[in-house]
Amino acid sequence: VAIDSLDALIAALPNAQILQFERQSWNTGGTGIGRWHSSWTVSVSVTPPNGLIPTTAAICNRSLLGALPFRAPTGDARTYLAQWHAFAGFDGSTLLLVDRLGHMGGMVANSAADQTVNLDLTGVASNLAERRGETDYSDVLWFVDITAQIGTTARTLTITYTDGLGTPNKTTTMSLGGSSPINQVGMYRIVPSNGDSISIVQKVALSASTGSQGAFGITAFRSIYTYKSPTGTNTNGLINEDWVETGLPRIYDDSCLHFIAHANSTSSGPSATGHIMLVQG
Amino acid sequence: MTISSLEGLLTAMPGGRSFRIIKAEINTQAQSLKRFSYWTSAGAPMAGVAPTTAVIPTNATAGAFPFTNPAGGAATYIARSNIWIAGAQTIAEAEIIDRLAHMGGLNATTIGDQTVNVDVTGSSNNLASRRGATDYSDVSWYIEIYTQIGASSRVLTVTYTDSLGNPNLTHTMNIGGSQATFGAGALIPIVPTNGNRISIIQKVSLAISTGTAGNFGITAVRHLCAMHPPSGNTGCEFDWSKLGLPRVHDSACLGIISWGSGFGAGILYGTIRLVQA
Repeated sequence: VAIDSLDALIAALPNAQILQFERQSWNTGGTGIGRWHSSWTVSVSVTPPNGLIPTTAAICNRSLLGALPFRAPTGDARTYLAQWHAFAGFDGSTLLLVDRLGHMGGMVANSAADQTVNLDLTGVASNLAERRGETDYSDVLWFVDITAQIGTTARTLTITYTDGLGTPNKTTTMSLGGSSPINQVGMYRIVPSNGDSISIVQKVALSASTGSQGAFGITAFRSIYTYKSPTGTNTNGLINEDWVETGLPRIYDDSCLHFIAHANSTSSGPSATGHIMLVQG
Repeated sequence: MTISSLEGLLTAMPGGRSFRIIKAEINTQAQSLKRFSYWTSAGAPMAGVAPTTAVIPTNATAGAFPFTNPAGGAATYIARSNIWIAGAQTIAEAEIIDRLAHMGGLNATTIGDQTVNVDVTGSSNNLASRRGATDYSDVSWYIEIYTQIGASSRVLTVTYTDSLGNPNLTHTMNIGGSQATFGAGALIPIVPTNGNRISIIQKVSLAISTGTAGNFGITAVRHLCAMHPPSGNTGCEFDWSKLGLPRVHDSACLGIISWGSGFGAGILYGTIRLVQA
């Protein structure tokens, strides 16, 4: 079963699930254009409740504390995003509804030793085979997720990974730590310079201490829907987008739905309040 | 019979019935990013009464949009709305909700247990359909302020039964503050931090007085749809697609709440149009 006609959509809409969310003051660290922020834990959380920062690698799902708790469809019905209705309090920035595929945390930024990650998206638990998208892993976004402020000395982080074709022990490097705000709570994309997609992050290692232990982890997402906050006279906009405007994207069973943001403002941290409407059919 | 096709919708739309929305400002100091209830606001629909004991209100309750339940197995939907929100707000919205259950008369100076017993597990007044999913995930719970309570923020312990039927669980939250957040109409969400869903609220208990008795209660709602003007002091039109064609179950107690990024509890003007088929 799938929603494959206007009639099927009209039949499904009146039974939609409305998921309220109110996530304010996301970033506890610095602001700045181009910074990525996660809403997994925020300063002012109303609904859904804050998630927990992981310690070991785990595949996330819809039942995890912190996820928008949508209902599993019955039978072989499918779930779609039919409406976005929200206020996003950050000028001109981009808010992303994402499926948090997997995460791990608890790594420290004052050690040059290898730190095991083993965040592996190649399995099938929690419907991961569908959720991760394309078989070459090109739908998966990987991030270093700083959850407690690290040191002010920029160091090289070497990430050892398995690529989208299954080739292990490849490496890519990125800078981690430095003067505020880049040592603050926030996320930093992992993008291998050779164009590889990543299926597993095996371990990370810093070239030297950044000066403070802090805490960071690795998180993998799949983007479902992106919303660009207006600028100008209607900044911090409250926007309603129907099924045409959302593109009616599919949300796979067991998805761990939450929000991340890509900032285009230096003024304040993001917030998001409103609801999404999911239809199943 | 239900609307399950574009043809069905088109057939039903000309026979729809519009209901006026004319609601007086509910709180002159409404704070940004807070929700407010228009239940006791004068206008159309007429002002509701602050409840005392726990009840399941319906479309026949004073304060609700007075629609008539359809005959012969037909169903009701919200097919169109428009809204204009007065005042100096920058962005604000109005939401149509089904007020599933409520009680009031709680005192914010009383230390110790106050009985609530707001229970949405029953089936009277078509509650089994109105509450939605069997896991209670469609039900939102709020503290509702009918008369401003005290300015001192105090811990309130809410004792509830979760969606699995486990009783005597507790959630703590703070109540008490300024008119902007704890004045008339204010709705303060009750969301257990462990992710539990609530089916019954049994009692609440303050450890210390907020300073003023006021009048507050517990309200359970199901959110149906929302509409918002593009900016302050302007109106908007929402068709069935923008609204999501929400189903209004028989006996639903339709009410209005507001929320905004600016001053969000001013005068409301508008309509909702219901279709039945």
